[in-house]
Amino acid sequence: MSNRKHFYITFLIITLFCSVSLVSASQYYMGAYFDGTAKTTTKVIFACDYQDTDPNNIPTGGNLIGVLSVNGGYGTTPGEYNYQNPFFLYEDGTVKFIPQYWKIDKMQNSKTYTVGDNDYIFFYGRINFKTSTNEIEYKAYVYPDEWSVEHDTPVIKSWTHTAPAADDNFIVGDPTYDSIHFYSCQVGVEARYLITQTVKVRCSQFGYADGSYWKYMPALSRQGSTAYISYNGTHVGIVGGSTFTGMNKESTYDDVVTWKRTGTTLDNDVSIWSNSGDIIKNVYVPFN
Amino acid sequence: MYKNKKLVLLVLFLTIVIILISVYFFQRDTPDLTSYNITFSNPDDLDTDKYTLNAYDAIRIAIKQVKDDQIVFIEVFPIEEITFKNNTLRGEFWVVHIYHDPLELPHGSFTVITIDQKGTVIDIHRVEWVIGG
Repeated sequence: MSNRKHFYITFLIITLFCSVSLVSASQYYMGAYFDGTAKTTTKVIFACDYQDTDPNNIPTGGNLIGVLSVNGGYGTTPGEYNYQNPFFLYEDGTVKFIPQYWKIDKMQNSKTYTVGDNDYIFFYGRINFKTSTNEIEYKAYVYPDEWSVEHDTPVIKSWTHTAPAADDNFIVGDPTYDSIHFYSCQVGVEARYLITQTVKVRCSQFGYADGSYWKYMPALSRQGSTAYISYNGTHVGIVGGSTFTGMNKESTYDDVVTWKRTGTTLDNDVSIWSNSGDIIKNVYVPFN
Repeated sequence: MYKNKKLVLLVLFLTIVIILISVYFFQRDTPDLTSYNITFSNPDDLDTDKYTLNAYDAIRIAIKQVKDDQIVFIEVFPIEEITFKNNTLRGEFWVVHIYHDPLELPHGSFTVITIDQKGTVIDIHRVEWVIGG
């Protein structure tokens, strides 16, 4: 084979490999978004736990994810970056914290920390837009047992990267831009493979910083096929991509939702909770 | 006789052409909405007196603008404030999202059409949706 042919074939293989690796796979997702006039913030938070889930109900090679997603922007204009701090539960009961950020459909970077297992009490995830240093900071606060909750002594993991130049802040609320409705701040449940057995993910204390207060807005449901979060004028970025068929809400009250796979799929724009207010804290360290 | 036959054929031909053109435009003007999966952000929107342009008229206008037989799904929203490139307009508008590709794929596209109270299309643009997390 001539050198030129060799070169072309190698080039083709590399191009093919790069294309495949850049394509983001669709995942099953059901979320709750803050329903209200868009606001800017620099801090968002949520907690999740898997105490009522048998990890054996997760398909082999799959996962069950509790995730907070927030859009970055310049003021309240939706931007093309989306920041997430998901906790992945695997079939063997391991929980990993995998903070990551996306530019429309391309993941820019991520970091993986093994942080616990399915019977831990709380996994708090917080994302900070540190304007003084122009950095995005992701933090996990892990409470393994009752003792750590009572004494407020979480294990903390953190990851930081430089903030994209286009972003000045995070957006919460649901702005309409170019006649597209965006769900800028969402908390939800996601999975690589569709789960057909009973699983539960409790997401609580979903909030944003408003000055020195931590607040929440009313929340509505959103399926993964239309969970629009980021925008660059021609492309809309979606969390998940596919409807989490069979996923429903088991119980909700202000700033808390327990997602449960029941076999009935929750519709879009169903009220998850209707009040707004200040977050009532169970623990304090994640909010400091 | 020969001339008359030619004339008859010409008239017949023109008649057929006119009929075909009429059928074509008639079909375009009255799209069969039953073949589309149409959802409303609020089912009551269709009956409300608040909007002088009803949702079905908005959809018909939208479909005529798109001219695309790959439409699989249509969403219709009433909206009172719209922002285009940082210009905010307030009033009463209909927004129609027309999806061109089957959902549940890693990517697809939809056309966004904004219609004002007079039925005038004031904005139309197509966007792609992609998985972003």
